[in-house]
Amino acid sequence: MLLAASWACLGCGEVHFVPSPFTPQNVELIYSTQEDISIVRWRISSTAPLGSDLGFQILDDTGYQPVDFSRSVFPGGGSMCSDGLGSCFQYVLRGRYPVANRPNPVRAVHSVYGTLPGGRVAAQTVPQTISLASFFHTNNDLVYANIKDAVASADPYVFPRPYERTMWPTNGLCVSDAPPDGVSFSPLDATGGFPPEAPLSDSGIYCVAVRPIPSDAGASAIAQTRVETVPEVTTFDQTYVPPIEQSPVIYQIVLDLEIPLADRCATALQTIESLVDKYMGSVQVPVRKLPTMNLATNPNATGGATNCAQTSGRTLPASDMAEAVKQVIATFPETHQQFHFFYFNNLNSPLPSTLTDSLTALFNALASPPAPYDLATLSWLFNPGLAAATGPTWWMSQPPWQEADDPNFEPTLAAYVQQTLPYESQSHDPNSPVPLLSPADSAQDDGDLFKICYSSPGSQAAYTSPPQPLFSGPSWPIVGTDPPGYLVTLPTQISVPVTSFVEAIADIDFQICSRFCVDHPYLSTSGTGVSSWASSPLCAGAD
Amino acid sequence: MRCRDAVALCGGAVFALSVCGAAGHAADAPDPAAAPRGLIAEPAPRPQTAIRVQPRFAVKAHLFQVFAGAEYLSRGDFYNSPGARIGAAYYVLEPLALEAQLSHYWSSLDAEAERVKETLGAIPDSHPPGWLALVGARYSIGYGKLMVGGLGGVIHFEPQTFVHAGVHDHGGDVGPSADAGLGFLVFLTPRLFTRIDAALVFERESRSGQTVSVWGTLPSLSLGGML
Repeated sequence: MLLAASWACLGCGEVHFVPSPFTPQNVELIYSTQEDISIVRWRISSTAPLGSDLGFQILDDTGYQPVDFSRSVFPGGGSMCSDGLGSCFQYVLRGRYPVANRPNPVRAVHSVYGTLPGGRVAAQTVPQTISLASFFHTNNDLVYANIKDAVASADPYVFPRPYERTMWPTNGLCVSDAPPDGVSFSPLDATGGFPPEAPLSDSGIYCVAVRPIPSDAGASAIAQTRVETVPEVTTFDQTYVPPIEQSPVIYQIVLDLEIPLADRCATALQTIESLVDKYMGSVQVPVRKLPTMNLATNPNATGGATNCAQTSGRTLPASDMAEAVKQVIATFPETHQQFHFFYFNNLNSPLPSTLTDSLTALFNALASPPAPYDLATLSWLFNPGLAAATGPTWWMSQPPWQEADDPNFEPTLAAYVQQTLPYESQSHDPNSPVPLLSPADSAQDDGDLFKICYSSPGSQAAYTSPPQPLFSGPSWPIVGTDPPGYLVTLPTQISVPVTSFVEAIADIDFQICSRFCVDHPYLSTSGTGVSSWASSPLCAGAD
Repeated sequence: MRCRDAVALCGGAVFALSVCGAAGHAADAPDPAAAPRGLIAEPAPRPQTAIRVQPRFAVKAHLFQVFAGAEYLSRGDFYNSPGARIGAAYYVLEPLALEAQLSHYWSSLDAEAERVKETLGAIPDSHPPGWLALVGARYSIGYGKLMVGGLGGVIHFEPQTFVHAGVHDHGGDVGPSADAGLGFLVFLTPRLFTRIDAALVFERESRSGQTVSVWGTLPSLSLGGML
């Protein structure tokens, strides 16, 4: 049986008939009414380069004739299909190919596979195969021609063809079949851009035309469009920071200790003053120390500690001290100032009324600083505790303090200075416009238009001299004698500790349009098309 | 090995057939003189035959064979695939050889496929057979000789079976192949032989993006010699 089967040449296996690697498939024929050309396209499965073993034939009146791609009116031949599947071929003929009586216009001839008839042609007529969109580049330094060309590219067929371009000023439409006399064409490079003729016309309106360059030097259709110059704008970015004021450090030490031992008294007085001076003097702003006062001086004190002996009727020279403070603050230009008042009393007992009265008088006197200054009295009580219950309201009386060697004393001072000093202030008058241009620049740009593109926080355009908010429109003319500006509201910060201070700024982008501002389309910063810069709140993009 | 010969006469044609197993044994022939006699006397005495032991006509063990031949691969793939084969075998035992062979085919579309191609430009998705390289084993089932009157000699032959496996390259499609079948070897001289093989072929081949199993037949006619 095996012998019989063998000699009977039997065999089996699933077999399908498929187009050969070189059989023309998807044959299509497009007739362009616009260009009066017929485009014949087909593809094959093979990606092998076109060589001597493969050729194609096209049917004409005399039968199938070899396809000579060099005679294609526009670029033809074979190339990789853009979808990566096989090779694509194109052949362009002038006129209308009579497809009605030639349903299979293309066939392949391969050295191995022989003659391979192509598939039935799919024919169509299209009114237009080349069209143009054109635009000026930013600043009108280049004109770009975006060509949509169904002959050069129709997926998966890609056969770019060379073009010529020209442009001429116009005030009307661009519909003629040919450019005006005297207008010549020049080759269009691959970038699609070319410089416009200088100078630009006042209207800034042109016709731009392109036409493909045929291989047979014959005629070719032109595609044209109307193009307008883009607004000539300059973009500015301005960051406004209201002035920041750092308060000077003004302080005074008042000692009121009760220490029977003279040597310990001296040591305590020295320790207190040196530590306070050390930290208050470490701030990188002007520091002014008022004379230290010791209220606990008693020549008749027992034990010999005459500088650490409290008396019952002790008091402060409140008016003299307040006057001294006011004189000091007047020596600084900073408006917002603080007076640090350090009072040291190591006895855990209420203060005598004479002292509390004078302290109250002092603080009350400092509540009325000379104009234009404002003064904050920062009164710091260093006491075990009970003194805080009497006298004026202390700004700070914590932590409890026992003596000069109190372990919390120095860290408390250090932390306060590091985290608080200097106090900083920043304020801006929302009714005072921030200028966008200097008077000189404003005079130079007189007559141009400006608009605010972006601001954070929100702002209102204004003229600055005199201040005048501008409400009517997205853009306004620049007046040489009245520089443009804007009104903005920023948070006011007065005497804020340095570590809590947050700088307030206004970030503004604005544009000045010097030419073609009205009814000249452009692309906005957000990428949308805008018809007129002057009437749109959108600013022109960079490209 | 020894074989027992039987000789008969038939109308002027003389043939002698001797078949034995590859590992056959010599056997004793009955002695005519010792045949029992019946009641009715024999009309004529039977011819006297001599029992002879002959050496094997061709010895293969531990020898190489080389061969070449023509073949035809038929897979139902719309290709005509005549081919040529060369190969070599080494007999590790008298009946058993290890074998390698290489075939090439000159394939062309058959008439039906040609018509389809010329009409539609379509061809089978099967690949035209090109090369087939196989290795395997060949086993001699038996050994025999045949005397045909008029030929002037005795035909020494061996029925064989074989199985091979290897690879093919059919138009760029490379895949596994195997065959198995029967062979009929005839010694022309002790060192020259001709052989007819009839094989069933199995291959795995890529068609239209899928790998399919393909069965076929592979008859061949070879001429070879012992080294």
